[in-house]
Amino acid sequence: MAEKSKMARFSCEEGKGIFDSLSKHWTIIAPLERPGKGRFSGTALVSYEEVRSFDEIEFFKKTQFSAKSVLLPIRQAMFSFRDNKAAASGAASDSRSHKAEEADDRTRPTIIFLRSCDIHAIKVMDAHFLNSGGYTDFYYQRLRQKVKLFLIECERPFENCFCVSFKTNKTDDWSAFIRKAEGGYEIQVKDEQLGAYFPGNAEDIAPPRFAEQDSRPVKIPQDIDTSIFEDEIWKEYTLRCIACGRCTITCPTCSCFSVQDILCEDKAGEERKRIWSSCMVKKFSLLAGNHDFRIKEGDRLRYRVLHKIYDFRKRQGINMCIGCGRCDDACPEYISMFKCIEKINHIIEARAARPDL
Amino acid sequence: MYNTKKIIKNAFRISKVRDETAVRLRVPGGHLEAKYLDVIKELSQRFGNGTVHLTTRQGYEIPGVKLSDIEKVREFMWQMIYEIEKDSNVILDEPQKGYPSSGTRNICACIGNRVCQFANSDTTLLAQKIEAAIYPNNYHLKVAVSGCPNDCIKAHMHDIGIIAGVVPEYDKEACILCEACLDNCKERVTNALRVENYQIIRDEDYCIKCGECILKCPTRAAYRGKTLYRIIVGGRTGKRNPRLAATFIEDASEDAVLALCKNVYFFIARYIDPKPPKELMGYIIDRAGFDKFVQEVTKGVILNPEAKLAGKLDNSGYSYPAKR
Repeated sequence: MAEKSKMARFSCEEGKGIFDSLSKHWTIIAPLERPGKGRFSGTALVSYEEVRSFDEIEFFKKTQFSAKSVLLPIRQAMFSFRDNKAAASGAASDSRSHKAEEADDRTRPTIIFLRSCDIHAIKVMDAHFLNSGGYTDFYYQRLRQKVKLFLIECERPFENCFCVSFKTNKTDDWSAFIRKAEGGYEIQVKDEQLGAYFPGNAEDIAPPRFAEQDSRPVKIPQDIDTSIFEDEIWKEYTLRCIACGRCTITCPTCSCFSVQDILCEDKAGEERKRIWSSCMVKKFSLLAGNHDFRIKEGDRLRYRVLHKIYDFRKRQGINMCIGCGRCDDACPEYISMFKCIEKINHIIEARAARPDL
Repeated sequence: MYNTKKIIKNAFRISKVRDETAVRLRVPGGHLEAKYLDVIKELSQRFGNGTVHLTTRQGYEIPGVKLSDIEKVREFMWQMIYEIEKDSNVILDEPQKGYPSSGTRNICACIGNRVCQFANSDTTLLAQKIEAAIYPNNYHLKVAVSGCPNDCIKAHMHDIGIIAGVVPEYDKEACILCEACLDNCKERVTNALRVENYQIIRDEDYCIKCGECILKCPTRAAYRGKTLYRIIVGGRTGKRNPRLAATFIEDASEDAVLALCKNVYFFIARYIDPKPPKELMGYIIDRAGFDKFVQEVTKGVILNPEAKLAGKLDNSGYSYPAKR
């Protein structure tokens, strides 16, 4: 692998030309800081956006939202059933002339700049959408095969990160690795198709450096049984959680969606879209007949946390949580995934010590 | 022995205790570097009675100072006064003589977006800009800046109140229909939102641009657009006819706010009944008429395209004798 890879060192100025030729064929999505676009007035938003130059990319700050919307758009058209005649003439729609049409995908080949944990997050999404019970999700696959991953370094964990605990701190799974260096960039490209864009003028690019130590390591509980459902901690979370859904929206691996038929803007048909959903917000578990089986906030939180650290692993063999800590960063009530895992550990340990309980 | 008119104009108070005064300090925008507290403390302990009053207008008042010590107090505090005003870009010509006027009161502000999640602007900074636009001035005018329509600073009880708002932009492609914005708007604000064909529709007539939908949105489908201000006028407390301010202009830009605040003084100068006690702005509007107010205050001001001018003022309030 190493002998095939190409190494290059280029200045910011040279980077402009490289970026331009790259962006002729690729849409480049990377962390971008936008002042004034944060939730609160006078704050910045750091998020994944299409960028116009290497220099614009925010290499050192954690994004508040993940890149998952590239592969799973917040609202994704699946197909439309529309009356094209009515649309053209402005006449009323006639259900007999409706025709279902697959939503076309005009997405260009895409490069995403990701930290190690976020590359692991895409592996989680891949497991979920490409190989879940032997089924492959057409819409996910269609976008996924156009995407290549560029690794960005993340040497020191951010405040609420715990990637080392989840072993997502390191990865080899990238097409290229890019480092912002003094006055320019260093890059190592493994992907031959992408190698053509870079000069290949260096041989001594240091391999990517990864975080080696969490500021607060946490043990991942191995065996969890349903007796934990009865524990008091969920009642406490019911009092604290406001069911706003920010934890699941910012999570790089939460991928629940609902499906809706939405009237087209010209009203000549409808479009079936899948729209992100969240197990934390109202109506997620609402069934016909007004039956809702997870009403309490603590129960919703329990469902989310156990899915992230246990249930998904039972099915797919990998943890769904990748330890990025975005949910901790986003929670307006300061509820912490990290703390919750610690609490679960304490419950399990206490029960192991007192099997009579 | 003492010229009370000059003393008052100089921002000292005439105390009920004979031969005593209280020293007042303006704090535009109500936010101050903590280092000045040392000066205030020393001033109180050396010249006053060792106490400090936090005024209703976010200033400091040091009571129990001898009128005969005014010169010494000015000498002691001129540098602090000079520096605090300089933070608002007001350069006092003769700071050694103390404040040049006291008619236009300290510009108040809520804590604003330096701390508060709800605030839509840096209210202290805007208060300081208003200070620079209108101070020093002898006309009695009270101005306050609030960061959102909660109006914690009670801009509604001021001659001029500025309430910051934000245009909530909406990207329906990022909306997951969790309805957090809608539920909150219904429960806490004006119920300006509804869902139609899987998207949120905002009724502009009901929306007060508080920005709460942006705060509640988990996906940033609702996001910050322009910061705009509601200018309310004619609020007051007082013995004769206490009342709340009413909307004068909706959705004004910051430039428009500053220009209009300046122009208020031309209106006052032209229409005030000059015999003492001098009229307050709201009473002048009542007497001269809203049309004249609009004419003077908007003169030469290019309003931003979003700005909407009220057709009339609708101040609520009451007078004595109370209606039976």
